[in-house]
Amino acid sequence: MSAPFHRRSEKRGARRESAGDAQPHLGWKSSHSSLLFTLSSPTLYLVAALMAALAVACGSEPAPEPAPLQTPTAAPLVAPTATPVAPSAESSRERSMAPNFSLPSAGGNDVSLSGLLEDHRAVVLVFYRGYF
Amino acid sequence: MAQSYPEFEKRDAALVAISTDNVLDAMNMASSIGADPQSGYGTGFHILADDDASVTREYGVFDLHADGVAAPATFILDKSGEVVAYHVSRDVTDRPSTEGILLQLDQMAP
Repeated sequence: MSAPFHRRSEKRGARRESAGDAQPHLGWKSSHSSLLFTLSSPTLYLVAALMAALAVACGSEPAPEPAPLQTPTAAPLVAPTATPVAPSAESSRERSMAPNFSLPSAGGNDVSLSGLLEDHRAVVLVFYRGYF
Repeated sequence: MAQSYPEFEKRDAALVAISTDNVLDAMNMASSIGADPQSGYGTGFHILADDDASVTREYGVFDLHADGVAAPATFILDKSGEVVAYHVSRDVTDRPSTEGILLQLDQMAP
């Protein structure tokens, strides 16, 4: 059910790949190295070879594999599986319930998760690093 | 994401930001993003202070990047409190898009 997040990661990977394809020095290499070869200077051969190697290295570099979503370590949460599971199958294992909490808010009052769930259809919890 | 709170409100989703800051810094955060500390952007928007990191630890996202604070992470809960989707950052810049979160909310049963 976390598919949109997974899909997003894949898309991001794909974007990175196409950005790699469009790296300017690849085009630059293909148009100039042939010119350099016609000049037949050993130094230029060396330079061209180095450039070719560099370009190949850059070109063949695999697009960064989107890391699998991290399973929070030491969390009481069971990671939701990416593949849909029939609700009846192992429902106790597949359901990962968010631990309840009550915390002081910037507004001065305490806010509990259970209260938010009562008042809303859904709750989005965003952990952030803090005010810097 | 806070600026998109109306979109969350439209979907009847509370938006809750949690850090290991104390309440004072949570208030600073609220004013830095232009939220009224009393009401936030609306009744369902809250900035919470998990000063002792107990909740952050319980959700398993404390200090994942060895910086002594919460790792950026997003949990989408349905009305029953079940985690229907989550994202934990690989590095401090890795965040899900607001659009992705809204899409997830749209796909949830009403």
